[in-house]
Amino acid sequence: MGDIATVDVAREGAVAILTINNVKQRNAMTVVVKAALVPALEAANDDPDVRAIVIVGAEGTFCAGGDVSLFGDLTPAKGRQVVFDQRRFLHLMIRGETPIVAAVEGFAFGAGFSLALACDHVVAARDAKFCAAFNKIGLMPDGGLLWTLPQRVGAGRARDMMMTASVVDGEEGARIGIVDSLTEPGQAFETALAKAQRLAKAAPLAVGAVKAAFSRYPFDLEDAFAMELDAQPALMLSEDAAEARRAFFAKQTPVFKGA
Amino acid sequence: MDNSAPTVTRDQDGAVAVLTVSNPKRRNAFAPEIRQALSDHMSDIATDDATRSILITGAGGTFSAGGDLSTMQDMTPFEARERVRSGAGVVNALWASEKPIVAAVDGYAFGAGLSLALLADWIVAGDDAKFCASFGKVGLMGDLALFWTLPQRVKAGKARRILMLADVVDAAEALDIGLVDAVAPKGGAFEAAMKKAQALAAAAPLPNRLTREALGRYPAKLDDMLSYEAHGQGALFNTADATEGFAAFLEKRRPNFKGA
Amino acid sequence: MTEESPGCTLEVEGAVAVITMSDPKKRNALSEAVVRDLEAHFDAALADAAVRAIVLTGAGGVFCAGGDISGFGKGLPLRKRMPHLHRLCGRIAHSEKPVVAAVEGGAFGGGLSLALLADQIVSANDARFCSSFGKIGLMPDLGLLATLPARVGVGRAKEIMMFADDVPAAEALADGLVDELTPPGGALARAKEIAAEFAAMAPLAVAYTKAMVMRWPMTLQQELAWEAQGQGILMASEDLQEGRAAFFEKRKPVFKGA
Repeated sequence: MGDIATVDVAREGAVAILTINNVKQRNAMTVVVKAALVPALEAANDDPDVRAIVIVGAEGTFCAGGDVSLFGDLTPAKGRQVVFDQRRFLHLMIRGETPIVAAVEGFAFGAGFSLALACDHVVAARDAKFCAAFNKIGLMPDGGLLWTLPQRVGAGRARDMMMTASVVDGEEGARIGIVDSLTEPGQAFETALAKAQRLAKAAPLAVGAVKAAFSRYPFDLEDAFAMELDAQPALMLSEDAAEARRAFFAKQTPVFKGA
Repeated sequence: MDNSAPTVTRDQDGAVAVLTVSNPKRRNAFAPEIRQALSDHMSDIATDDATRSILITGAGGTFSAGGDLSTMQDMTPFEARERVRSGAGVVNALWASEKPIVAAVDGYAFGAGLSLALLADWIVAGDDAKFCASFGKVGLMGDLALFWTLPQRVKAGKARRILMLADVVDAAEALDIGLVDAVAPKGGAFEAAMKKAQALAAAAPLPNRLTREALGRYPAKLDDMLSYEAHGQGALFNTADATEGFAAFLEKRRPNFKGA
Repeated sequence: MTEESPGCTLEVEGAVAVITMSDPKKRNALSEAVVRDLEAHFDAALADAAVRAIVLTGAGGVFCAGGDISGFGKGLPLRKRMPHLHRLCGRIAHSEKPVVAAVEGGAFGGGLSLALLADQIVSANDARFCSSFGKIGLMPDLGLLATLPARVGVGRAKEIMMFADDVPAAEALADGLVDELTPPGGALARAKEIAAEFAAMAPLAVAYTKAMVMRWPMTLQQELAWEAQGQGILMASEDLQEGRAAFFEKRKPVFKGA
């Protein structure tokens, strides 16, 4: 629907597709959009038949930022609350166990950049544009970018992007670690969906365990050992692990259930 | 005045404070006088509202060849420990800087020189520059926060060679591995650094101060950063610069940030 | 040890110890025999004052095929066995003598994890790497969750772990997963050369530097406290005086580890 900002939810097999639909504002992360993301993510995370999620922006642009027209009315306390409330969808994205693939065409600026990097796997067209645009409006990066960006691109490039609000295109993004899979313009969604479908066939508990571990980044070797000791014995006893062994010896492709 | 004494001079170019490390007889080796001078300048700059960014470079075409070996005669472990501990002062002065720092590296950034360069937010190298954690060559380990700064820029495989084997890294490789952010033609590092320093001086200062502070908390976990950004952003929403920023965005013009 | 009986060998050539995993029927999987020998040989190499660096490799054209799948499916015994494996992995990762892995053929699952415990990894240019855990419904273990992102960044590490695709040697080099490539059959020789480079450095400095690397991630204040502790001792060492003398006399230093 043209004028109403929302997050459309669709299913393609075991993949839930969340489309930021706020075309008039170039899919800006308005209060309405952020609010709509929460139940959409909750539903996808809770549904055992959903094994992967794709997040995409309607009509060829990912998300151009926050809703600047409202910012001027925010007191410091209200401003803090608005940013603090974002952890509802950020936790669902980063602490959930269902892997998320971003499909980025056009602009991923400001809050849009943060949204893309809160995903596990970033697919982008080579002419997509990434920018930590916050500084240009007198704000600091939020949406978890201070945590997600350096772990992908290293401290030097992260500081440069965040402090000068420089624009990085998809191609450079692939070189420096922002983009995992680079596509031709117009192909990001198709590729993202294909990646998500592959993830949907993987053993869900195993994928979830990897995702859970990285939500605690950074950690050292001893922390890794502790996380393994907690989770691997249970995984070893799972039906999916037994199915994998059965399929291996029978030279078949395993079918994983998430149990 | 003896201009061969180790020192750090300060010049001002508009809103950019230029700090030049000089120890000409020893290729700008990082003597105690230099540590002190840097700390003193950083103190002055902290209360100087006219300065919005800092550029650090070395005099005479080289950045810094490292610690001064001639001063490392026999000392007890405790004396040595105290010597290293006193280096923490300049590290903290740079780390706590509210104003962004760029480094222009020509020639050698060896040992403490490498550590110093890595304390900057943004580093440009002349194409003949060379980087080396030369500590290892004489039986020492890295200091001046090298083990905190280097792994944040350079991935583990290369980082281990640099730290444990004292590999010499040239400018092109330094760019490739993220050790530096840009490479300029020989002799051009200063100009490139100044351009970046001026861009940073024109950027909104308060958000960058908080960004620098947040990143200084590395290795913060997700929730720590989320809390930090919420509090920081709250404080920023009401600033004159944010109001100017929102207006400029909606009016589709360039913002003019004052630092308040 | 004969070719038929699985385990590991230890050979000391000057300052370099070479530990070779050999269980050809299981492509050097981490069987009881291989693990037991790895522990014993690492202990021996670390205790030998002449040894300054360790090379880890696999016999028969493969590095290590990981866990022994025929023994899988028993969760509670794994809970008992895992700390044992963690102690071995910790021993290798925290070894104060640098470790260089030489990979021919491939390193899969736990074999990949094992290789990534090393300080440097040399690979034949036709080798393949795979975080194959996911394919059998398991999570990456033996420290891969920590060691892999340290080498390739978080984005690429997640990709390698979640998709469990093969990573060919050339891509592994570009990603930072491995450090050098050689023609097939050349990994061991090159690993020994790198080990010799490590062996020529000052042993205490190398050990303290590695210990600092293994403390990552740490805060700035933690790092400053640790560097002062370590550097304090090194500045009072004989090897520093040798390093200084060699520098002023324009010759190669000969370090003793004191």
